[in-house]
Amino acid sequence: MSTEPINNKDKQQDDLPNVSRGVGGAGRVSGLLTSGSTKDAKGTLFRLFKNLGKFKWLFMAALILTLSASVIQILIPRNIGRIINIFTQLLTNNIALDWELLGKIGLTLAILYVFNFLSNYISSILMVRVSQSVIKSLRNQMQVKLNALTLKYFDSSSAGDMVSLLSNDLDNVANTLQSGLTSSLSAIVLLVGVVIMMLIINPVLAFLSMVVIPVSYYMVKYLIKKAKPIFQKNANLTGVFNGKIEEAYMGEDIVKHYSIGEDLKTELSSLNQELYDSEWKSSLVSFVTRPAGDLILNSNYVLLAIWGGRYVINGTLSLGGFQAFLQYTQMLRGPFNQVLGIFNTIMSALASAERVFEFLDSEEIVEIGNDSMDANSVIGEIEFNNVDFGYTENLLFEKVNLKVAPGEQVAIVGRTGAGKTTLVNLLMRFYEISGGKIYIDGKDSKSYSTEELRKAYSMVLQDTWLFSGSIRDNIAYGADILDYEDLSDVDFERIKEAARLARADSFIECLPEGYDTVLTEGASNLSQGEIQLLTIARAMIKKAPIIILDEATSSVDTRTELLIQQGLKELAANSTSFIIAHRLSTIQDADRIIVMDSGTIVEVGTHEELLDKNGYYAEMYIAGQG
Amino acid sequence: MLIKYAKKYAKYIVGQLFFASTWVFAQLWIPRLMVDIVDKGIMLKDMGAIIEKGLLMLLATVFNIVSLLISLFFLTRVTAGISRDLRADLFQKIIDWSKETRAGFSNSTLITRTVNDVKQVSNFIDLSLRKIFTLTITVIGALVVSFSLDAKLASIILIIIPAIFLLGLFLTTRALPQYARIRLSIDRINQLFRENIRGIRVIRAFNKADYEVKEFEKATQEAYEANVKSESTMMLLSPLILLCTNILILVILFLGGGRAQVGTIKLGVLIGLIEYATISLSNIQQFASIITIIPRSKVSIDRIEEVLSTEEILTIKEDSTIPCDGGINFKDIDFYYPGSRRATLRNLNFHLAKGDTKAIIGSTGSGKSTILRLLLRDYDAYHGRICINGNNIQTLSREEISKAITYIPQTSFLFSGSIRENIQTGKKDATDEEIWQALDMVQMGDFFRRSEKGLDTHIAQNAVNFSGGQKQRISIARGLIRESDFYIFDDCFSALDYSTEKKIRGAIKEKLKSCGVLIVAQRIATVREADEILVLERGEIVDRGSHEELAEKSAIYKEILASQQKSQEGEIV
Repeated sequence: MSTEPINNKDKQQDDLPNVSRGVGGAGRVSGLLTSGSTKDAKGTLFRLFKNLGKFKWLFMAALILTLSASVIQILIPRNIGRIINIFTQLLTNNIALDWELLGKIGLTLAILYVFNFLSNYISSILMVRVSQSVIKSLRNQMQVKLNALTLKYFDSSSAGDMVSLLSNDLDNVANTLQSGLTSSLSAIVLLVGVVIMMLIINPVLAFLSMVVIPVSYYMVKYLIKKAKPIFQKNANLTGVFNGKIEEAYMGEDIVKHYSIGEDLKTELSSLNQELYDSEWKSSLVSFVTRPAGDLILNSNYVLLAIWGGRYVINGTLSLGGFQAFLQYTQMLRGPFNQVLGIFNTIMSALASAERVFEFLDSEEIVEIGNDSMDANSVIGEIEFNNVDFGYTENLLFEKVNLKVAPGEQVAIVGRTGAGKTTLVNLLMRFYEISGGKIYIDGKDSKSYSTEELRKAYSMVLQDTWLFSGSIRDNIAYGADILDYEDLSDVDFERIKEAARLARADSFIECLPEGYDTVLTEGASNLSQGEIQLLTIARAMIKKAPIIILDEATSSVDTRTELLIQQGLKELAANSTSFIIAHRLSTIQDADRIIVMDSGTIVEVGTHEELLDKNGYYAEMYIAGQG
Repeated sequence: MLIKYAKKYAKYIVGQLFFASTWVFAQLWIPRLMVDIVDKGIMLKDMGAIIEKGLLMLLATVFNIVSLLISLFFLTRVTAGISRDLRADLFQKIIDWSKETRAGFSNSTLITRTVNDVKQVSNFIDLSLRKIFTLTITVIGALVVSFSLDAKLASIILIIIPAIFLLGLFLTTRALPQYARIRLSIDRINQLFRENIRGIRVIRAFNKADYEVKEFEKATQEAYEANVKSESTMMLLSPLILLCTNILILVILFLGGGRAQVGTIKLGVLIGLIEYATISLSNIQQFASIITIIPRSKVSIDRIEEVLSTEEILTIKEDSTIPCDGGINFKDIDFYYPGSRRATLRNLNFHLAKGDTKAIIGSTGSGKSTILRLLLRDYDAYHGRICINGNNIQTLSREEISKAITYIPQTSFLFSGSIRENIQTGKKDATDEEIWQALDMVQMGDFFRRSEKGLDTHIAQNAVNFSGGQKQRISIARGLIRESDFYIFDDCFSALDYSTEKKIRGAIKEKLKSCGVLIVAQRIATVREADEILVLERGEIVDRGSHEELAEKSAIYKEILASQQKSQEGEIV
């Protein structure tokens, strides 16, 4: 008879001590061995509590209910013992049953049961709501934070780490909140309560029953330590096998057309055999730890039965007390293992919470300007005035000056790392300049908020990104939509028109599902060139006075590239445009070509002017590798 | 499907089930001995009986654990064994599939099926053999012992068990759809978050932060609702069963008390019955919670089965028509990609003899690579006839085709391992000398000679330690080391600069003098020297001829030329 909610109970019977089994199970073992470390446990706890917000009182209520459920739980075996005692009186001393007293005890028990049920159930329901609300709110906070972070933050941290914050750390916090905390609390209360009850019933027996528990705990711990290399080996093999499988599937062209399928199969088969070996061993080992610990506990139980029996015979213990005692012994098991794990659980959850909070506290963009922008009236005059900028302490741009007339088509060329993309990054204010000014139509771009400023731009980034969703929605993404609108509210004709201008229409129409084709994550079902055409279409649907193409056509053939440029002219004859190209051939008709090298503008002019100059551009041109 | 796989392990399974049964037997024996301790020992004040039964109990405990260990020993072999067999069957099948057969499956789903789904199935087997079986016989055993102790009181337990079971089943099935919802919404949350990180610049450029927040909040709200809904249901199960157990005990006690008064029941029996009632109900409870894994496993089993039951579409056919001429021959080819409405290739005819070099040029998506795909027999679903050396390719096995044709793909996939191993993928027994030769042809010889480990230089997974151009060159070398009649190059010079490409093309021309060469490219420079260039536009050959002829008469070729020529004037001539 135990009162833990079902999920914990299962864990106890099955998985405790935290050793997993089966394929790749070893991954979970590390969770047991590495507890999180927190810098400021108290502060984190306080902040987590603050995050409960309006759920604070529900949370407290849940804790109190858990507490009361545990106390009730402790009282139950004692009362059953009393009933047994009454029966013993009848059987040994032939005293007639006191039905009135029995009825009283029975009623007490029934009331205890119902209260136990209610407090257990209500507290777990409350906890689910509390923890899920907290997690929802933290998740939302994290995502909002993403959009407020500086790009420097993204440059210096890995996406995997951020996703792991959301999926692993928040999960850890949620689980601890939802069940870990209440079951820990009830475990502690049960442990203390049961020990007290046992001491009341019979101190000698109580002592005997407790001595053995640490022994069994350390034995299990020892076994886990011994088992660690086996798990590790299994985890490694699993990794190797999965890697090989991945390659075998990804490299299907070579595997098939170079006829190496058979060799590969042989190799995989022998790896598979090795994996089998390590798999059954590691799962056996993970199973074994638990019964090994049980052996000691069970033997102890038997000893208590014999010892206790003796006490009953010589009259120092009542039969009801004996029965209650044995029940308490059983009750002690689960909580004891749990209490030992509590510290780890809570600390690791706090460490997770702390990491999340750390992320939520990272530096945000500071917006100074709040002027609003009317994109329709922007004529697209751009000026860089003594602009300084560096991604790190070292300045990449020093006193850069550039003036672009409305409607001008400017091409930016230069080798990798010359600062072409940086120029564009600064225009879009992805990064803030550290000195000088950038003017748009003669007005300091910092006087606008970034959101307002970006209304004036339409951009194709070098880094092609499409979200998983239909092609139609991906193109519609470029259009301005109102708050209450959805991507599907964007006029389909506009989408098709944008696709046509970007020369993406013909391949889209070839796809079985046409515009409704759903792109998988990373758009792996399209070729790089097709992806680029879609990103261009996405930019084309937004009619902006300033257009930026950052190596937008690097994977597109040259003829299509020229056609796209025509489309661009059709779309926005009066727009100012910046084109960063890696092929010199396609930008020769630009109004002006800006040649950059290590953060400085080295040459400016038309194609012919620059060739005549016979300088850096001419050199690049001759080498033919723009 | 699983039964087929389990057959092989019948002996182990029987062993496991046998020892699991003895484990359950010992488990149930212990409370029975307790009954005797109370009735024969304590009540009769017989210390000897207590010790005797106590020792038996100790024996039962040891027996219990030993049975468990042996049964686990069998069990782990069964689960690991079936996993191994499933994995093997999956990868053997998948590796052999043609592109056409494989069309419905992405790489990532195939990997998931081979790795994660197999794991899920193994968990399922583990639970059914270990838990579902033992839980069932435990309940039955507990009932049998209870009846032997006192049939009247035991029948109360018997009545309540199905009720509890149905209750558990009812709650679980109500919560199940929510579990699927939770999983989907969590996937969605992670996906949105990942995409938000990846696309942060695009999101900002298009001012879509608010839109993203809206989408994300939809997903987190969904996760919240599904969680609350499922948990509110499932959380009821455990306390409710506990309540039933407790009430049942109370009932047994009171009925038993009445019986004790008239002397028809012993105290030990009463205590024993309480114990067995508790065992039965807690087992039923576990049973109900295990059921949740079944639908999830069913999905995995179905996904594995889908792969295993997909048979290769491309078979080796008999061809009774007159053999074609030698070389490579495309005759009246029309091709639609499976499911596509528009023809990818239309009325395509060409011939490539040994010793010839032909090239195909065209825009992105014009169908260039598809021609090569058909030649390699990745797809059979075309109209017309394709022959290699006089044989219809549909009559040839994959080995025969790969012997005749060396394909150098557009995306240069390299295996993790040494550079030597990678080149040897092309020719199994290639000597170091041959490998160096091949590397020299692609202008990579000096690179590896300079590198410390030479041919043992390690290539990481996805070849992340090499640039795009280097990967292409290694991939070309791997193709060039092979010996075949025809070589086809699928736009595999795209990441190379002009001067390197020129050198490589020179070396290829020299080495492949007597072979048929087919080059697919976007650059004029790459195709310029071919004997014949085919200009492809929307799946049709619109013009064909030498560079000079096409530069004269082909409008599209002229356009392509114009888009590239300016920058290449000083380069190609």
